[in-house]
Amino acid sequence: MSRNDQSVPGLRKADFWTGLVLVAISVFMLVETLGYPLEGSYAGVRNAWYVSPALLPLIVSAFLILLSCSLLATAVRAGAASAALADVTPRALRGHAGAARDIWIVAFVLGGYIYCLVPYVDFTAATALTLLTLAAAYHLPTARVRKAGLAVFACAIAAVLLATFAAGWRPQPRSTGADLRDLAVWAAFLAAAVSVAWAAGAPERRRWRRCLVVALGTSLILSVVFKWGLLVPLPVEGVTINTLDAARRLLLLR
Amino acid sequence: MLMTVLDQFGAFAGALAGLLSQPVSWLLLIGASLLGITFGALPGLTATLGVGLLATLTYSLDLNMALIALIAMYVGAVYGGSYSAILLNIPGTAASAASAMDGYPMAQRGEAGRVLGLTTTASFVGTVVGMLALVVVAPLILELALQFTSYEFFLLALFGIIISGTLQSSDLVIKGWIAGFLGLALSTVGRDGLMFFPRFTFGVPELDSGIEVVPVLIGAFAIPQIIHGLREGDGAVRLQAVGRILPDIRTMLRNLKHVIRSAMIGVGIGAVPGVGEDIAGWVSYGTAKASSPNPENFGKGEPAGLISSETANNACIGGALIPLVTLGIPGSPPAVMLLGALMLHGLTPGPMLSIEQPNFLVELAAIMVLASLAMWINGMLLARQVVKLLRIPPSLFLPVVAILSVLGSYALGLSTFNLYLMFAVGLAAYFLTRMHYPISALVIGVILGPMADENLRRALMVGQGDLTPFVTRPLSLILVLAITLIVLSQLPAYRRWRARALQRLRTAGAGGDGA
Amino acid sequence: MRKFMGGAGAAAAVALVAAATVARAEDYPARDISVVVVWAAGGGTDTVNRLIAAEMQQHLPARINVVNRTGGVGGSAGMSFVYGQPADGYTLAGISESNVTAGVQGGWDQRFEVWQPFIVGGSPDLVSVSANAPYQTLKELIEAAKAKPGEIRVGASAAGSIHHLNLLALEKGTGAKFNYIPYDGSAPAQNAAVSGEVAVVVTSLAEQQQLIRAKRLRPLAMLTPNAVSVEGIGDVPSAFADFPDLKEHLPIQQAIGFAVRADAPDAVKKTLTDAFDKAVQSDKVKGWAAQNFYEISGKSGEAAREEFQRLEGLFAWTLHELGAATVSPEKLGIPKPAK
Repeated sequence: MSRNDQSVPGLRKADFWTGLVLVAISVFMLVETLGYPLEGSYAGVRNAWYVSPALLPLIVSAFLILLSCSLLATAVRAGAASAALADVTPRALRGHAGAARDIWIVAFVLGGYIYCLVPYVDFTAATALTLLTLAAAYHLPTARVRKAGLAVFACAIAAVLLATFAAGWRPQPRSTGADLRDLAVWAAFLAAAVSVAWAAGAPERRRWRRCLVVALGTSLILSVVFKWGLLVPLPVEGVTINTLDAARRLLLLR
Repeated sequence: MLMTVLDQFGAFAGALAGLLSQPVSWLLLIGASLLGITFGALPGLTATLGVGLLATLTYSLDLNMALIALIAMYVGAVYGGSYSAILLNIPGTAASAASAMDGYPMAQRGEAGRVLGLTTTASFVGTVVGMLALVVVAPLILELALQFTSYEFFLLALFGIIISGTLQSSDLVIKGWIAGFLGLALSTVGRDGLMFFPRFTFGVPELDSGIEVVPVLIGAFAIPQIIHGLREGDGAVRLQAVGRILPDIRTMLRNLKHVIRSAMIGVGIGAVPGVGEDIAGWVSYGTAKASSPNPENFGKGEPAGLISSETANNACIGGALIPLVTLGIPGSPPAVMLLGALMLHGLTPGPMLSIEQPNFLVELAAIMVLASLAMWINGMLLARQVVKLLRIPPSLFLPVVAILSVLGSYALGLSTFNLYLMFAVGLAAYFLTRMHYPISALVIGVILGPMADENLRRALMVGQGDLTPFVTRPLSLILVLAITLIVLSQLPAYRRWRARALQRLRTAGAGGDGA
Repeated sequence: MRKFMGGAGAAAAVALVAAATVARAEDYPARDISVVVVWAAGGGTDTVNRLIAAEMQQHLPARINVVNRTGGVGGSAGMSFVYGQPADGYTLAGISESNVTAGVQGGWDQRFEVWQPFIVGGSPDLVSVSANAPYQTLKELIEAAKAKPGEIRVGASAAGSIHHLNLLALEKGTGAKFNYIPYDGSAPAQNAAVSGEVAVVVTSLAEQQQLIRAKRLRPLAMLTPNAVSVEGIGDVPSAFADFPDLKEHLPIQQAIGFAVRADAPDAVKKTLTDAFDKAVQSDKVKGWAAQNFYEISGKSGEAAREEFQRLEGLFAWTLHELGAATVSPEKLGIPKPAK
């Protein structure tokens, strides 16, 4: 991380906001802690203030309140309070959002992957789609490509969430519905590949192919290595792993 | 006395020759060591998980072969964590988090090849010193380690936490403390270890067992690095001159006092039950920084910092085996798994071992030497190839790192909740890093929080609120003094005084230590 | 074209999967079985499950993989996961007696009867003291504790653990009162007894045996009906001999093993039971148990269910009485254990 990607006034402005957030968090922590038992006995253990589960949280929240107030004070003394408040205009906010574009892209793709795909659909398919989206967005860096990839990704997430919702959030693994959903993610992968190729155009064919190879290769290799090499089961073993497993058993005649 | 040493040495050479005469053991050694290095280098895959995997895979092998595989895996995994720490600033295991502090800036200067050579040698030396301690002074260290009660455990944790305050932010000094306290706050989530009282769980069952270190570690280091790298784009990559990968003996010799001290810290912390490689790395790093005449260089690419943490975390292995083979008490988390694996093979380590199998210790030492040699050779050969990985454009490489981070957070407890946690911590860490908070301080807080909390309260419970044992118990007193020294070393007034004193010593013709 | 081929490939894949997944319970096991141990790697439950899995797979046409899924309340994370899988016997839960607390501690809303357990066994609990403690017999210790109620420090693993329950039973059965100091596991508790931080420790014989043989701990009495002989030390008498009242509260013994969903097909349960019986009888398991002071139980079927039902009632109501239960056992329908 480069050391100087923020100016000192910028830092003080950020400190103002973090100071406020930290005060809120630590005060909340303190209030929660006050409800913990300080005497008597709990679970057969004789309690006293120095044995209480509240001891460390009390110390920590007290220090955090002091430290965050000091952070706030430094920011205010540097004149950051008015600057920070002046920042809360729609225009300034739009400017900030633009500057932070990459955070939102990575957060959206990784967040979508972790919260919406990994817990519900075939790990290999989800990983291939995510890798393709991320790699395409940065390896073929034009706005058109980025938008094409992200749009397909967003559609896939929406579809998966809808299907999972329809199945009552806790679908039985190894059911036809689950298999169809996994295949839908693979279809989204194909759609993403095609739309990215179309958006990137012919001159970028080589880079496009590289993204595709990385996405497919990594997801397959990782799935196989973790499942059978390291004996770590994947979060959801859906259509891809089951197919590979069936193929393995046919080959080994077991 | 001399005779017994000679006998021991003869038995040792015999064991070594016996092991080397079988080609299978060569294969196992190199294979397990490579697998271990890979485990260590991948974020989230830890030595514990690796030893667990091999426990199952070696079930049908005979004990000696299994031991070779298990120890080679353990040594390799503790060392392998430094690869990703140095090259990507994403420590592969908590044990190598301290190595990232100086290793990454050094690699950024284009010295990746040299840094990897240095790490490999430091880890090798650490492992061998640990082995020597295991064979030569085990009884002595054991007695010391068994003196550790709640008072000492608390002070050891406090020692580490204080170090987090010394990891200064390049902006405001208090940011180091804020990060450390945020880590401590995170560590209080879940049932407390004493009364099993749920704290900050809000009725969520997943929070009940507390916040795990591995997902926090991965989130805090990997996510900011991924966002940042993708943002910078492919143009910003500095091509690494691989150069010759040398063991860099000269730098090691120049930092000899750091090597010796770190190895001793590593062995000691390894021998203390339940405290392992991660804490050894940090404590050794902090001590090196506090005792160095120019602590301001630490965190900016100071070889002494890297050497200290890498020597200590590998020396920890030998240390952790001391209580394991003498009393059946595992000294570190991976040693817990090792104990389980040994028991599966029908061997229960403990006091009877030296009577039932008098040669076991010597054989173990021979295996450790082989394992560290295998690690060293693998490391020297691998380093060149690994550095080349950095030539892959980040836009293709970092998405893969992101997926590995996700799998790594999942692998240890197989819980999707850890993924959510990893990502949330990661985003917060990204913003904190941008505002110049030292994120390592937060990780230290999460690692040491429960240890400090539980042991402080237990110590007070045992003493019914009495604080005097902290200064009347000899070991406690030493730790209290060490902590005071670290705090003092942060004060400019003390540093000026110390520099003047050293100057006077030097002009008086004492020569100085040259560091 | 590419898309079409992809579609065709996917269709073929579905057909293959459909063919592969139509497995009847009679064919069990047609693929690998996994045992999800709900406690951490390297612990007692983990080791026992790895051992029994390795032995059982020799009598089954499939591999048994052991993985760890930790977290939650009383191992609820792993149990919820296995319970969420189909009841086809391909995902088993590696469990111990401590899992029965998951319900009353708010980990999940099921009783333990949703499982069909297979109990490999457990190691009996005992009372030991530091090597330099003045107490030579349990009687001396109890008298000293009665003279100074709540003064003598006893270490045991965390509140609500099996060793804590054994300590509570010891207090009830003898009328003595100790100062209970909880530790994060058996090993730290024993280490504290060695270093003298506590005078007495209550954990299992398997966990203490090496420290006892090294003469760092002195065993006073077994908390089970029978005396046990430890090589090099001699007989450790049963606490019941001096304090017959203990019979009403003890023994509370570990029950380590694995479980399949209770609604799994009978054919699956039978296959598992056959393999389990053979594994428990194997020399490897027997030898391992003897060496590590485990008592092999080998219970399956109704006997194992009853054992766990008893443990569930005992743990749930004890925690409730100590004020450490988040959910009342009554609400879960757990009957109060008969005295």
